[in-house]
Amino acid sequence: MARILVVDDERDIQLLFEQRFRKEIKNGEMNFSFAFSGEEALEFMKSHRQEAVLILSDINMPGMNGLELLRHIKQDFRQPPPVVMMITAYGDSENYYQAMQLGADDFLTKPVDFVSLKEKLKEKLQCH
Amino acid sequence: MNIYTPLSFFAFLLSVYMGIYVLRLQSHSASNRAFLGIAVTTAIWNFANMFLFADLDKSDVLFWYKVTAFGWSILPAFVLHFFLLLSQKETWFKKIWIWMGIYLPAVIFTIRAMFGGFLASDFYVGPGNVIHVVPNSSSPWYYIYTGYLCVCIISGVLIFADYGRKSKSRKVKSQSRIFLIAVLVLFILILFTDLVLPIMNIKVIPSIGGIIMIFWMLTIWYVIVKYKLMAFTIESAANKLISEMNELLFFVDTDGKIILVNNFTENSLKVNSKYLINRNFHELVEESEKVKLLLWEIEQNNHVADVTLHMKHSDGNLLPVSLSFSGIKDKVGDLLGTLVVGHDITLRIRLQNELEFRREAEQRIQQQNETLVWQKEELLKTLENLKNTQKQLIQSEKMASLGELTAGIAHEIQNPLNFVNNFSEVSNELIDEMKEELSRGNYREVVNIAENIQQNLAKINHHGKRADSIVKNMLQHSHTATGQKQLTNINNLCEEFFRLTYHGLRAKDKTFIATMKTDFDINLEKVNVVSEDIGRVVLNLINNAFYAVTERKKLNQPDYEPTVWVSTKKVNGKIQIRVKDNGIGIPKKILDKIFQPFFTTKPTGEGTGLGLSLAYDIVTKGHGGEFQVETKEGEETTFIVQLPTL
Repeated sequence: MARILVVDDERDIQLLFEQRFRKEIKNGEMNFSFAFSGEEALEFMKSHRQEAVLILSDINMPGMNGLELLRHIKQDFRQPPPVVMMITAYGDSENYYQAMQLGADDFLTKPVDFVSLKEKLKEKLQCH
Repeated sequence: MNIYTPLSFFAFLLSVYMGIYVLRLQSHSASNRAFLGIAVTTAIWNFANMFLFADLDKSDVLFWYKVTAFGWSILPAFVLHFFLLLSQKETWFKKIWIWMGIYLPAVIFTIRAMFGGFLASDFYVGPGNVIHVVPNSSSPWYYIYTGYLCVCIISGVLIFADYGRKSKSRKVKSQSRIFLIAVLVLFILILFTDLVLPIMNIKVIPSIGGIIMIFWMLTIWYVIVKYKLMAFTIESAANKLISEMNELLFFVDTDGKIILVNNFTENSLKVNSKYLINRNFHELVEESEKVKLLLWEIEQNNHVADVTLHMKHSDGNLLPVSLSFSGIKDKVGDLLGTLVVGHDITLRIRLQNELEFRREAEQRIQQQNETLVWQKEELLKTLENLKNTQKQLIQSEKMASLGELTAGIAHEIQNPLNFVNNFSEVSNELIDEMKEELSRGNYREVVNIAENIQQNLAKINHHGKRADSIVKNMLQHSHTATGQKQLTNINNLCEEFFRLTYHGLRAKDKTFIATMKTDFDINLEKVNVVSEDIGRVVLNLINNAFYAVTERKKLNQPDYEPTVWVSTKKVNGKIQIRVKDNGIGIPKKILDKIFQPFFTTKPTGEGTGLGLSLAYDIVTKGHGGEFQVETKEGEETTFIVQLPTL
């Protein structure tokens, strides 16, 4: 089962995800990991090279931002190809195209609609 | 022929001349007439003596001797009369007995001398071939006459001496002194030559009283010339007035020719009277036609006063004068001539001009004052306007930075709000679950869920407060500064504004990407500052830094990573805030202008040009801090703000 890595500089995102997806976590449907910066996310990826990972990353972060992280991941981690979904507060076309160009698999805008996110995640996980 | 004949002739001529001279001075004056009497009698005496001394024939001598009696017998009366008049005793002559007392003896002596003779009984030719007199000392008349002579002379002299002593005028005193000495000396001389010597039969000189009398008259003449004696009259005063008055004076005859001018006129016009006399008056005046008319009209008008005209100087200059014309007419009413009196009004005109000039100057000063007051008011208005404009500009600068912040704030608020929403939604779900577990009686799970809810509520509360503080910060920023200093955590302040600025710029320009790096000194103590002001400074510096890196990014340099560093540090007891960027840098030539108000390198409409100048004022004036900038053109810029901790 694929692991879902959530990258966001807001630490409370962990608690929120754990509660939003508490049933899925309980059932063992989903397995979440959290990173609080781009750099931390890359570390995590390096230590979990063999695992299939679905990455859910914020774009606006201090230090390495989401788009840079996306670029790194798409360059450095080809096998197995990670699914990267970008989340941003700015629902603008510029970020969207940039993310798509860098190979993002999906693009979500804040505030995140957890119902549709859950469906999307389930869908992606099944593909894996 | 002997010396006494020409001497007598000379004395005769002199007495005639002096008589005429004094009479001409003032023919109506009583004292002058009395002097004329003295002169005439002396003249007769000397005239007769002239022949007497020249003739050696006895019968001829007797004839001429009788003629001399007209002189010496009346002379004492005239002398006394003269002295009385000089002593201002005119009133005495209103009484007939005074006249009689003085002149009756003179008449008697004259008649007596004509028919009987009393001073001389015989004549003989003495030494020097001259006729001498044998005194008739046996006749009582001889002594009566001598007494009369002495009384006349001595009483006259005493009265005049008394008058001179009492007078306050120095002139009168010196006159009387000269007279007394002269009269006494000469009287004694005459007594000696004409009476004493003949009686004592000493034949050194003949009877030359008439000649000695001339010296007496010369003394009077000297006094007249020196002291103007016998000229204290209206006419002499008028003459004096004319010669000494400080007005121009002309007497113009009916043909318009000048017949008299005074000294002042000569001096004023710088010409002598020869030039002026017989000249047409109008030739001397610039406005000659007007003067001709005035002189012609004077026959009817009789008097024209204060006509301002210009008289010609000999050197061609013009003398401004005020002329008055008075017609002088004879008893029938025919015009004799015109008296023209002119007043030199050069000074008056100069004063008038001066006055006019001052009045104008005063007016000018008044006008200038008014202008100054007006200008001052205008300046004050302008200053007021400027102050208002300044306030507006500062406000607009604040609003501009607020605008930049708004998007950032929105983003900052959105995150906590999302958490609030999410945690509350989740909690709602959890409560449903809790109810389910309760119905199942699974209390352990209920407690578990309750703990989760509690945790969520804490998160809701936390993020609610976070949003609240962001809003408060925003309000704080937009409010007009309260100016209150408060203890502020500079690190938090920098971090907050760093993020706000970044997000604000992202909101405006979606392509904007820059690396933000912070290095805060965690040991930094809180410092007393006006936090909204220092926040604005940091905001401004970070904004500029982001602008600089964005500009450099546009150059498409390979491997360029736009980066902005914000760091804090304590240096020498001061708190240092460094905002560094690797942007385009600041060219040296504008480095000294960047703190000037309204200086901006941004395109029109993008920057107010007030950000840095306000920041500079806030740091230096508002907080007593320092503001520095270090830059390498094209590479980097660092702004360093140092704030005192105390």
